[in-house]
Amino acid sequence: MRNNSSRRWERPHPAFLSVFIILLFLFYIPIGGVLIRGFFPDSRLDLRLFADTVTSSYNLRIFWFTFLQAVLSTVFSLLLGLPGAFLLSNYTFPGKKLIRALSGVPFVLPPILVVLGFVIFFGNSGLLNNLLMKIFSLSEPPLSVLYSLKAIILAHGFYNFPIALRVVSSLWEQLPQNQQWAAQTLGAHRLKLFRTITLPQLLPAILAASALIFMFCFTSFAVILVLGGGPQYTTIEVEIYRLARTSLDIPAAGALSSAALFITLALLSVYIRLQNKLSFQQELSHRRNDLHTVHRPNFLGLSSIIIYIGIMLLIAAGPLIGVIVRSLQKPSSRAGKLFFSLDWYRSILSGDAGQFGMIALTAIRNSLIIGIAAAGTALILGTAVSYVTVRYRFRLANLIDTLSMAPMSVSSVILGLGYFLLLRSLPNLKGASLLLIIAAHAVIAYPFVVRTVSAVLKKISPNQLYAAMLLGAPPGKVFCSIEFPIILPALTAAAVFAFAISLGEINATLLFSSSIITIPLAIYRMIGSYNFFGACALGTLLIFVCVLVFSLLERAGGSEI
Amino acid sequence: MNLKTVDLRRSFSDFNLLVNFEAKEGELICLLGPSGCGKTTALQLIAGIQTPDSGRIYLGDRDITDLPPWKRNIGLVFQDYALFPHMSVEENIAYGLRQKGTAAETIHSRVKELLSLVRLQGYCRRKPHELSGGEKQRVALARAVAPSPSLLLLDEPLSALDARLRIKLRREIREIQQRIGLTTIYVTHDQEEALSISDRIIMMKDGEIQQIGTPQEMYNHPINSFVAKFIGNANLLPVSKRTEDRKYYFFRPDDTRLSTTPSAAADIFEKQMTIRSVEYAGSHYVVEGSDGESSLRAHLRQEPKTSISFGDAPGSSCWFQVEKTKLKLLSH
Repeated sequence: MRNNSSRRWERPHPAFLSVFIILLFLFYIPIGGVLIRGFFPDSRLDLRLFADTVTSSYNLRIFWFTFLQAVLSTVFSLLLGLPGAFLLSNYTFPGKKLIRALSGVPFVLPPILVVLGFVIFFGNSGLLNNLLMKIFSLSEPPLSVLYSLKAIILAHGFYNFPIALRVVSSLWEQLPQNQQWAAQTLGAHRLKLFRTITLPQLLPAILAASALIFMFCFTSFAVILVLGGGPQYTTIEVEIYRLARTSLDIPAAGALSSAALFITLALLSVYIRLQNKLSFQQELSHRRNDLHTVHRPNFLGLSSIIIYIGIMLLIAAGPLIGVIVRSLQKPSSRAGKLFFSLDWYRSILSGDAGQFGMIALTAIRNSLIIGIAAAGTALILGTAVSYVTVRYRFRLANLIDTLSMAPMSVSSVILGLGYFLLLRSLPNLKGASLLLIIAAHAVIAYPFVVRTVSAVLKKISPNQLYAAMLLGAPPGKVFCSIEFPIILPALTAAAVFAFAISLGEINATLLFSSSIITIPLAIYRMIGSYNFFGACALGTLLIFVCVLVFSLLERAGGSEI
Repeated sequence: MNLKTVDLRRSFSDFNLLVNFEAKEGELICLLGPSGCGKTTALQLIAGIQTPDSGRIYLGDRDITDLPPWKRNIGLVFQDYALFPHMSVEENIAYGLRQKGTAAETIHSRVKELLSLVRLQGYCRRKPHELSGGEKQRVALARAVAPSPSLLLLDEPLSALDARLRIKLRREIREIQQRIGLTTIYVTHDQEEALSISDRIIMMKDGEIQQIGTPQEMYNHPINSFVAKFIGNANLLPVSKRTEDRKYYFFRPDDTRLSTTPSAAADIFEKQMTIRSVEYAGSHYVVEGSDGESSLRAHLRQEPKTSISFGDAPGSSCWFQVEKTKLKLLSH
């Protein structure tokens, strides 16, 4: 005779289901809309459009280019990141902590800032060219980097090398030292040691990092849109945007999006498999107490470190410094000399009716409102999903887990397209546009909330919850007095993280926003209208917010990317 | 209060638990058995963490089978302590009293009283991560006992600690238990622990109760070979060569003597064996002999003057002898 009264606390409260209904509306319906347009172009099932889309030579060229730039970018990111991983894992030197912290900065910057930085730094009249012209007394800018495949790869490398560096070095540091000594007593000299002992064990990390970087580069949007600068440098995402906003060919955009969805899902499953192998390897190494030892570098090591830091500064810090420098400059006349000026910031603060100040102030105001609202929504959504999937064991648990993490695998461009379709079909309500932006940002940010909160929830052992129950606390009380205080730091970090994601989001926003301007949108439009100085002023503000968020997160102990 | 379980059943895919026992008021009863025998499951059923498939649980006069854990008034000490990391020692211990709505000053004096009971006076403000294993366990005990539960459960509370500490702490737990007069169920796989602190022992194997008795009864009169082997050291000789016939002669190595010649006495049971090893254990020597099919052990005060067989070299042949009064026949 099984009784269910004491079992009720093993199944989630029905109120949680409302979370999944919200998710349905905010994510599955927009995406569904996109897929429907692709497969039902004239309200009838017509697979020809989809077939044409995936076989047309035009699109195949786009597929190929997307793939090619992703591969080249991944290789370049590895070339940049792996030497750093080697240096960090094997040597100890002053400033090591700083280097490690700085290495994370590029990754937390939104792509629009990367784009802006690159334009400022590597452009024909950019900082690097100006510097080289001055040093070598040239009359023409020597480096022509921008608006080419070179620029795309360079920017992707800047953005993604921290992944390679951190993922590989964190595993390397945990490789047990005893193994190395054992191998040496068995006769292995250093190169052989590396080839046969170290490298095979690092392979899971290298592969996992490569897969992740590849996925990011494959679905990259803003970088390609701006730094590619031409139809021969179009990727799938850019083409979707072009079809939807420029050609207004919605069915084609829908069909292409469907194809893209399948490809990214396939990529994601590969990545998950590699990530599992990596976690396994990490677990193996983590159990031991003897970590990889570090030594002081010899002359060769020291010079490598200095050269590496130099390259990192050039590629990673250069663009950012360029943005900050440009924001403090103003031309004396149309094409005149630049002089130091705080005018741009003053303009923002006063919001003067001249073009720049007011736009900037409006953008800041909008971004703050949207950011806070989206962060709050993402926090509630993400925490609820986290809680249901971690705490409860019920039959549909695995399915719910997969379904709720789906937004992570869907590109925000396609999500933006879904919202674009939604917006067009909604009546022209005043707040509709704003609400949709908030919703889109919340959906994009909430998987990160889920990951952050789940990680901490899992650390609470069931015995602690049982202990509280046996001391007289019913499940609600257990949550309030035990679980909530423990996860509060993670909740704060997740909220801050979600806020930062919303602040920098441009993909979805560009796809469907018309009247509401956000900071990234403003920067994008200013780049397009050659108002680089203004863009840099806004960009600098964004840089500081992101760096602040990043240091807060680092302090809270987020070593997970 | 006394605890009674009636036909308590819980089944998993390859495991079936059935427990029927009664713990009298003020008694410390040990659930003893190897890993996987179901002792922790039985404990979790009593606590309400797991739900039985059938059967009833009575605490005093109350049928608590259908009550959720927070209404059962049972204390539980976990093997991994399960202290609340974000609360101080005082807040941890006070937790149960807070749930009851006890007044703040009463809570404070009760916490102090308990801290001196477990000999951790002055530890109020400390946090769990600042405590050693033994200290954590004592806080866990104080916390479980603070709201004056009717029953105390302990799930292998000492297995994470080193041997010396275990012996010291189990004595303290027993003293506290006796002083408060709290009915207690103590789960362990350590037979020495069970023998030293329990009023009665419940021996379990594969989800079934093998025997219930006082420590002396379990040690001197085990009802089958499993109990005989688990509690203390045992010599078990199959009575016949046929394997279906699982009867055993049972006697303790402590009662076993060695002789180079067979005895003629009618009250001596003996078996001839070749010596395989002699080990020194401080208070005695452990001599092991075998005849190819079974082996016997003897605990001797003096070092035996024998040669040990090693590889193909033959060792001495000796007669292992025990008084028939110390010999028992076990049916399985």
